[in-house]
Amino acid sequence: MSSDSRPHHTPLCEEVGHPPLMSLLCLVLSVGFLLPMEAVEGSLGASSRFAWCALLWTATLSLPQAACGTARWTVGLGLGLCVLGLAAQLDLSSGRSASDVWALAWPTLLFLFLLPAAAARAKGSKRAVHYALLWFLFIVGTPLFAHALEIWGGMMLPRWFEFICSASPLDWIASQLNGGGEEPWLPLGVAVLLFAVTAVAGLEGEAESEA
Amino acid sequence: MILSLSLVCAFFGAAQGDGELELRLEGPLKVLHLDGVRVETQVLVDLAPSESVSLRVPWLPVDPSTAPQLRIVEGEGSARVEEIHAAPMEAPEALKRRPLPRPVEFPARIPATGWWLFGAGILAVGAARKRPISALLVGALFGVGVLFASPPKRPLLPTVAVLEVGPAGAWWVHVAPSQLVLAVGTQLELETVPEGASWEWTIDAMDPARPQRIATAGRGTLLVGRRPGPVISWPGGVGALGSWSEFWRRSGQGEWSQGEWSHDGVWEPGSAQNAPQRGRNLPTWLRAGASPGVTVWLGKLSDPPPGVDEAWVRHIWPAQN
Repeated sequence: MSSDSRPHHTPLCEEVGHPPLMSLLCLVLSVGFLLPMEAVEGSLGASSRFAWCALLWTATLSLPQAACGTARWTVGLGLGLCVLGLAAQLDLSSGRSASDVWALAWPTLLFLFLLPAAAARAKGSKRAVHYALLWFLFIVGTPLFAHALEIWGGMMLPRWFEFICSASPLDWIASQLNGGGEEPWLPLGVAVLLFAVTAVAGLEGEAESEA
Repeated sequence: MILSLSLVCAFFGAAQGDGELELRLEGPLKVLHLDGVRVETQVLVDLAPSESVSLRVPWLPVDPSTAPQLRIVEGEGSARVEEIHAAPMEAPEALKRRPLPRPVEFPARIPATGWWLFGAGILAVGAARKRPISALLVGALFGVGVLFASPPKRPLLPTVAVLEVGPAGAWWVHVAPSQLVLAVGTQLELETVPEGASWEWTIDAMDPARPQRIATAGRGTLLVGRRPGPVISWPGGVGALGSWSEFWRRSGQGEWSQGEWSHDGVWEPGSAQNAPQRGRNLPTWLRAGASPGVTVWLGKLSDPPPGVDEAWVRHIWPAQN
């Protein structure tokens, strides 16, 4: 195996790192969702602020990571957890029950751990391409494509396409904005799959490099 | 004895010709239906074999000449009507026609403590960024801290009471967005806004001597209850209401008679009133209904009576010919 194809991740305990720049942008945007301003409250209505923030943070932190980057997703996630705590507080204050907030929170937290971890494992190796393809297919591409077809194209989506679309964590979070009742098992399965693919490939790569 | 009784009313119209039943319930008894009423009425009790209780429940008859029929659904006890009381006095029509107070549902806001903790969390994560796992743990700690250190505050849905004082007498108008706790022994007319919205009446008889009546409606529904107000002689007895944190007045004659309101701010009953002056606008829902040309006093009580968040007084003086 050439050095380029070897895993390029650095140990988490290493004293390098900063939050991904995108997460700083995400921080500003998500705080904007929580501001006590009439424009914000009017435009977002009674939708779940936690879901809005979770949507932003899941999309941002699951992005495929650059091979040469030193940004640490855990730092970004640390920032995200502060925002999500604030958003959950606002949802509870708005009258949502603790069980409703929790039903949205625990899958989101799993997404926020599994997807960025998978992206980090894939960083700087051949798996990065695989991860990027799977990420585009299952995370953002299909829901966006479906949205474009439905809203702009006015098309009825075939059932199999809807199924793939419903496997996207982002699609699931978006469905929870106004209290959807779908179970998160399918998108969680996709997140676990992505994590497992990159983890297994990473173990194989490490074994080869040791050999 | 632990007894809870719920009376569920699906209310499809304005209550007219209402009565009140005095029921004697003897256990064992759990569910009782009142038939021959305009709304489906269900009484839920939990009476043991040797227990009994007398209760007064509202009765909304389909035909006032028809006696109510009691149907025991669950239980082997008995229920009988001891007495039927006449419908309580209704609010004057003039009072009903006036615009009702509208509690405003303020959107939920994050308390200052939450923002401070959030800011501290961001700084702490930034400080710990060189040890990513520490940054993650610090972020999680502050996320949970924000959630639990600043307990969620429910949206402010004030229960408002307005003491209407005028030629028709004194009436308290209680308005609550979704739940209204009714004082024991009050003559109450309950209606919903929008009219016809369903509501539920629960009588919690844990303490049979003082059953608590709670009217609950769906979200977005206002409950309006009217009952005769305190016996006061105006303005001599105004001192009984305590100080006013806001006070407006409009004269029946002169410059301040045509829609102009004088804002006097804080007013202690008995103290001299200042010369009329412009100031803060008064709430719109209190302004409407007071015809020009009559003297009107408006104010917010510093100490609202129990059970309400805000209490206002509106006195419309009789027009002088």
